[in-house]
Amino acid sequence: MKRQRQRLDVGARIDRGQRLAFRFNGKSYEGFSGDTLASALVANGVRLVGRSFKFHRPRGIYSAGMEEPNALVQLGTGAASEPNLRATQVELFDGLEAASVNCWPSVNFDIWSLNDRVSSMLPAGFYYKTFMWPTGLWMRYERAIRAMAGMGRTAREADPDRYDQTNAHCDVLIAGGGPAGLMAALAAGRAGARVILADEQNEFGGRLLSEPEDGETIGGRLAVDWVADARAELAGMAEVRLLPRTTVFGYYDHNFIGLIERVTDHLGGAAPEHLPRQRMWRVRARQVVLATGAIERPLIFAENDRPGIMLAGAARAYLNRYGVQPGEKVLVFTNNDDAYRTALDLNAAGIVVPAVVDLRADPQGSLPARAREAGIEILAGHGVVGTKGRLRVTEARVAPVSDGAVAGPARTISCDAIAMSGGWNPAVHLFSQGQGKLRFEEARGVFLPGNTIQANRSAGACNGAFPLAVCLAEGTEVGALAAADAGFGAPVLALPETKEAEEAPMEVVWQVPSDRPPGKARAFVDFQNDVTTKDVKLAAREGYRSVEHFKRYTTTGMGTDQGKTSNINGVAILASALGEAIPAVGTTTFRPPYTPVSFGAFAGRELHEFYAPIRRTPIHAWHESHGAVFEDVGQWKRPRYYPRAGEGMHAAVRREAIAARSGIGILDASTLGKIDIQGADAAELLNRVYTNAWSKLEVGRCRYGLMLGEDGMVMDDGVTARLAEDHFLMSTTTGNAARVLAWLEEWTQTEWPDMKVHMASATEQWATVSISGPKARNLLAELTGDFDLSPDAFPFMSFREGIVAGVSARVFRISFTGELSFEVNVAARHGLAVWTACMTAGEKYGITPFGTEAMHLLRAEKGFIIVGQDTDGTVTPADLGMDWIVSKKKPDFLGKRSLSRADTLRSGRKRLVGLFTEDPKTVLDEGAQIVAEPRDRPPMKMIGHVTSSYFSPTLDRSIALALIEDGPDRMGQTLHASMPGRTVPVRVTEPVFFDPDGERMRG
Amino acid sequence: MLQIACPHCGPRDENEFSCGGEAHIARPKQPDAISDAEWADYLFMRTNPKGALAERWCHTVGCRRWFNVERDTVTHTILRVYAMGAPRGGGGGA
Amino acid sequence: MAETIPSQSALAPLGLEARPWPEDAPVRMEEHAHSGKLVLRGDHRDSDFMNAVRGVLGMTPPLVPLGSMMVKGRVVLWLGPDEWLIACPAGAETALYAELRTALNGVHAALVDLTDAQTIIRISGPRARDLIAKGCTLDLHPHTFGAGHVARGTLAHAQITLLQTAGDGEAGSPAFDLYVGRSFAQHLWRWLEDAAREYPGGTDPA
Ligand SMILES: [Zn+2]
Repeated sequence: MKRQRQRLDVGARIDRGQRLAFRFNGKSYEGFSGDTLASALVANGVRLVGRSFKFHRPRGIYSAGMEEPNALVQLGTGAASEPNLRATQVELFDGLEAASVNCWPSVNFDIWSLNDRVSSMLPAGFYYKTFMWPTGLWMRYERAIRAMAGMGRTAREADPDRYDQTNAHCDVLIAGGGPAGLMAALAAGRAGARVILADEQNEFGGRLLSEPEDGETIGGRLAVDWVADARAELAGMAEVRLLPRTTVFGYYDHNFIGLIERVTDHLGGAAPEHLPRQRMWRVRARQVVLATGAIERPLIFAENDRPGIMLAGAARAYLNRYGVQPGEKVLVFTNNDDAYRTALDLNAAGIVVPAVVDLRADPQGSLPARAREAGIEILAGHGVVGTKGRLRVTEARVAPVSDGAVAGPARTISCDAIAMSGGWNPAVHLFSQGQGKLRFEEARGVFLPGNTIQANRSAGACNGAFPLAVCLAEGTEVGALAAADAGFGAPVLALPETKEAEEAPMEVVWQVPSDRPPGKARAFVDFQNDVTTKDVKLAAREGYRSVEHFKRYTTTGMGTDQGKTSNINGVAILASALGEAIPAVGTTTFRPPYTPVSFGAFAGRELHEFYAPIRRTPIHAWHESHGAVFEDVGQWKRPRYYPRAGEGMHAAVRREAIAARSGIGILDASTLGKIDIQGADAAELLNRVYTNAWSKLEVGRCRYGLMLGEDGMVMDDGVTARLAEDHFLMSTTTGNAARVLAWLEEWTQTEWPDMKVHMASATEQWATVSISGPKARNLLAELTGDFDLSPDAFPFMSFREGIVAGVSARVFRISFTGELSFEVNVAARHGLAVWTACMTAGEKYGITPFGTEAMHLLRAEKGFIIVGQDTDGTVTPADLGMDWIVSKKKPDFLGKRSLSRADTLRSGRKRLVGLFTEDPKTVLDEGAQIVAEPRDRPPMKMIGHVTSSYFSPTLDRSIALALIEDGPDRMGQTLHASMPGRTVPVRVTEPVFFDPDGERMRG
Repeated sequence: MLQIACPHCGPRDENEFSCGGEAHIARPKQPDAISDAEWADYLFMRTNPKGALAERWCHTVGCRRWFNVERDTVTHTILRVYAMGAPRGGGGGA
Repeated sequence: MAETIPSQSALAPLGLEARPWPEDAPVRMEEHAHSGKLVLRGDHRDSDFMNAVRGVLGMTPPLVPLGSMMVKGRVVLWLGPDEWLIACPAGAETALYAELRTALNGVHAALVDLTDAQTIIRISGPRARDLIAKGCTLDLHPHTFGAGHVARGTLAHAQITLLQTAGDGEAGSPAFDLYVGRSFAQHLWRWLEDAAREYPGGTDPA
């Protein structure tokens, strides 16, 4: 195990007593508790962490936070392996194992870096240009390009980790736990509001964690101690929920906010089994406070991508927070005062700072003054115009610059790191996601929160307020205002005093000039996707003026970092190339997620059996124990067939169908929708929603009804029984029950509010056992003595109430199979008992349970339609040959007027017919297209399609239903059905194949 | 995910509701007495504005009551919630 | 004769009696099956309707949204401005239904016995709210929801009616009665049991 040779001996927020062993790219290292993977790598002197996406240039750690474009790692191995994590955000744990992504065979020797040599062949838009012409080539290139560009690997196995989700409500949600966020939380929390404070880091404090311990003070306390006090106070508030390691990733409508909490990621193998790995929070917040801080803006200069070149704030974070040296000789390059803090801290830690290169002609703030006092050379009016070093930077070339040009000869400064800063970009991502409009401030070259329609406020650095005192003041103010708007008024908090250095103005520089010939020295804008200033200018020349087009064409900001460090620079350089102002070019729209969120977290626990709710009938357990194969009908599980040993589906269905035609079949029909309708106007409601007339239906009788949409298309069908003068029980198709109830409610509440009628869903109250077949009456007679079952006493389409198998039952004499059938409805709790009683008593009749497949076959033999299978929302009653059920006398019903529209009356509509294949053994595919004149290849006119198709054991041949243009006029014609690899001749026939007069079911 | 204030149950997530499309489209009193074009207008034609739109919503998984909502189709701001049968632009929300 | 016929609760197939939850678990669940449930609809502005209902129940059904009332072992839950759920002791629903039917004769109202259409999952314990929040967007914070409050919504994509039966402070509190459609009950129970794995002390799902 290697020594942490870049680690400082004292200071920082790490626990040197807790050593953690880890492996990176196959080598063993050691870090400390409190490290990130990135800080531990820096501590171990690992500079090279990855290769860039396109040119495979060697890249080093660039930042210390979520904006990291370079240090992408594959974490773990096997099923739980996760690609593209930012090493700067991975908390170190014992046993961690990681590898660089995007380099093969190794980070030090990468064969694809050949791309770098031929970079002139890979300009902006390379991918677009390659794949637009000729289109077929994409197929050939794809494999190679994907391998070359591959960004990590997804595990092939199922993810073994658990993810969870939860919902939450709060008065004030605060995104970001830096000084502004903490103050906002204190203000809102003390007012009594329900507060959620989320921060993506493992501890609260934001940038204060990265400042030196003897730096700023708040209320007379060291900044980090003030943070600890604030955290402790918040933790003691019952209504405040603190969520560290939690990223606010999405800001949606009406203050609906997505959070991702990394619950056990930092624990590695020590994670407790009962906790999920990550938890997604779906929060509805009355008020939102955005305190998301700022992201340092890189300076864009020639050869700016060598390992060792990093953001100045990051260098400070590695030094102060993690106690590691970002280098031994660190050149500082800046256009602002803040980077002087880095120079001062490095210098104080004994690290050589050869110079501060400042683009400003005359830096005169207090920080430059302190640097001078400390003996650090300041090269004012200078810029870094080039660098050297293969696997890490070894020297910088520094020259005087003025008015955007190199103004003198360059000198060489040897260094092993460059800490640079182009200023700070407020993190306005969430504000923008939530439909906030951004405004541009010229002086600092920043986009700031403008107007918003959502209930949010920005505070601190994300609002452009960088000084600590202003961050605290803004945090206090917005925290109190947010709480007040949520109904928790309170006196405004006294502001703690701060001690901090004042900053002089920065000077905006979008691109540092170079003395190297253009094309020789590349200046990278987007590190992850290798976009250079030259690419941006090329895009401008090629006519890309819209930011959104520019972004996709050059791939700026299209990497997994979503351009956190590159977008603004890219837009600024584009604007300058176009000769336009930055706000005129605009910034791209920020979309969720702020940083990548794993699919596992989005899925949560909604996997496998919890993927969607499963509805079970009271008889479900019996079906299971009798080997039923289930099918999904809506959310219901229905037995499809019950195979016996060695039986396939066709054999089982054949056996079940024959039993129902010759003996008794028994079906669990509990899933059919049942709607209880009561009121003086109940019959009138049925008159209005069904096509036929209901007023004269006698109590005790049932009637079939067809329900249309207002467009005249068939919407549902079913049998409705009149239980009493003002009381009906409507049945609906299984999948449509909720929709039909909603339909009835909609019309009675919105269009006919004066109707005296009420509906209720009664589906789950009842278990429905349907017995069907010539022996059904014999069986029922054995189970009830309560009512006369003779055809005259209990005719078809009527119902009786009485005791069946010992329990109260409603028995409906209706039939979907075309056989003598009884639907026995009992209270759900008795469903299984009654089913079992039927099975026992029916044994001597060979009673056979049948599933939906046999049911569909039996009804198809009868030509009974299934709404949603033989109809598709474009089919009228006339199309189905069901004019007989459409009342001519009723003045109106829903959909009636549409039946006389020109389009519904025209010829050429697809209408229901039966089909016989020439070969009786051939069973057509459902959905097969029908043509009148088959040709060798398309195009040919399709005149319809098969809606239902089965092999009928009763007829010993195949049967099919189809919707065919003018079908009924084609009786006897031969048409052709397309089947895979062939066409099958079919003869058009009537859609009723069996017992057309219905003698069996009426008998 | 919008948040809609049910006039009876208070603010709830959008997925507890179903949207019934544009409000204030009365069903013709005598469908047989109007032309195909008039009927088609009732059936198919909607205003689809950019801005304020009156819609019917139902609190499907809650109280099952229908009501009207005026919503800005650009910002999704809910401008007004009012009772079924009340006129659009009438005074006050429900 | 009906007594001899086995009655099955919605969750009976899960064999829950074999794995009870520890008394001190952070969250406990049990099925409360078979209590009577009638759904009543009518216009509260119709004095005939209100008098008839009052005469039988001995109370005015709650008119304030999301409320409930308990009298004589019966709980009346507000489901909507013209809709109530009357929960009564197991077996009492038949007589109550008949009594209400008689009283409502000639009055515009609807009454449906839905005793078997739903079961009740009783969830209690200090983590009860957290458990429910995993699949439900209702705000159950004591500032906005308390004992006696009713809300309909969804939990784990199943439609539920939630009644808080005990506020904070009592032993094993808070407690909620979760009315769920019989066909969804097994799904919901298993989903909740899986969600409760985070609170050790509960039973392990089979
Ligand atoms: Zn409601």
